[in-house]
Amino acid sequence: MSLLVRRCLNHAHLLEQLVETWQFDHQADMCAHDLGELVSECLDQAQLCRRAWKSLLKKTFDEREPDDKIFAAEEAVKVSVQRAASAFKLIQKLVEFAEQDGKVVERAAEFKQAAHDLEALAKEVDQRLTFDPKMFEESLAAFKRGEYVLIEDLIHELQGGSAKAD
Amino acid sequence: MNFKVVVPKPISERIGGFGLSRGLTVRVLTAIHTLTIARYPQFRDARVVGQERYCWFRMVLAEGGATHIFYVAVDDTTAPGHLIIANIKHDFTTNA
Repeated sequence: MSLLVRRCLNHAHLLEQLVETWQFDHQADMCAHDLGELVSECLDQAQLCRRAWKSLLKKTFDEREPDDKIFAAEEAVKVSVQRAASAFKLIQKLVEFAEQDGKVVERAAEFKQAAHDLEALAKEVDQRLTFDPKMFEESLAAFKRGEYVLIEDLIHELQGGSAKAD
Repeated sequence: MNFKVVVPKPISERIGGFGLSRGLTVRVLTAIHTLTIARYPQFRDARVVGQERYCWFRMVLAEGGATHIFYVAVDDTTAPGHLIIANIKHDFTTNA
C-alpha cells in the first residue's frame, strides 16, 4: 500500500477519533475554536482522499501493479472515504448548530464545499469499485437456463464474423 | 483440472455494449480465456467483497492511444469444472 493511501486511511481514523473525543469533551458546550480545528482536519482529509483516489486510479491502469496490491489499496481508499464521509456529516451538523448559535466557525464555507465534493467522491468510489449486483444474478440465471457459450466458441464466432467483414 | 470457461448471455451482451473495436473485443475475450485458466490458482482466493461466491482478477489492455482496464468476476462454485464469467467492469483512460 502506498504511503499516500496509508496516510489517507490513518488520517480518516484520526478524524473519527477527534470527532468522538471532541463530542465527549464538549457535550454541553459548543467551542467554535475547536470546531474550526476539526474543520481544518476535514479539509486535509478531503484533499488526501482526492489525491489517494487519483493515485489509485492511475495505478489500476498499470498492468505491472499486482492485483492484490490494487485490491488492498482500493479497500483502504474505500474505507477512508466512507469513514471521512460519515465524520463530515456529523461535523456538518455541529457547524450548523454552532452557526445557529451565532458562532463563527473558521473556514465553514470551504468545509461545506469539501463535504459536498466528498459525498460525490464517495459515490464515485463506490460505483467504480463495486461490481453491478444485478449482473451477478442475471448471469447466474442465464447459466442455469443454458444461455451461455464456451468462450472459445465466442472468439471463433467473432473472428469468423471479422473474416467475413474483411 | 481442465476448466471450461463459459460466458453467459448477459456478459457477452455487456462486453458487446462496451463499444470496443472488433479487434479489441477479440483480444479481450482471448485474454479472459487465457488468464481465467492461467491465473485461477492465484486469484481464486481474491473473493468479491460481499459476494464471496465469486473471485476476481483484473486485466489491462492497450489499444491505440487508450489503456483499457477490465475487472472480471468468476463463479467457480456453481458448476464443477466450469469457470463462469459472472460479471465484468470496464474503464479506460487515454494516454494523453
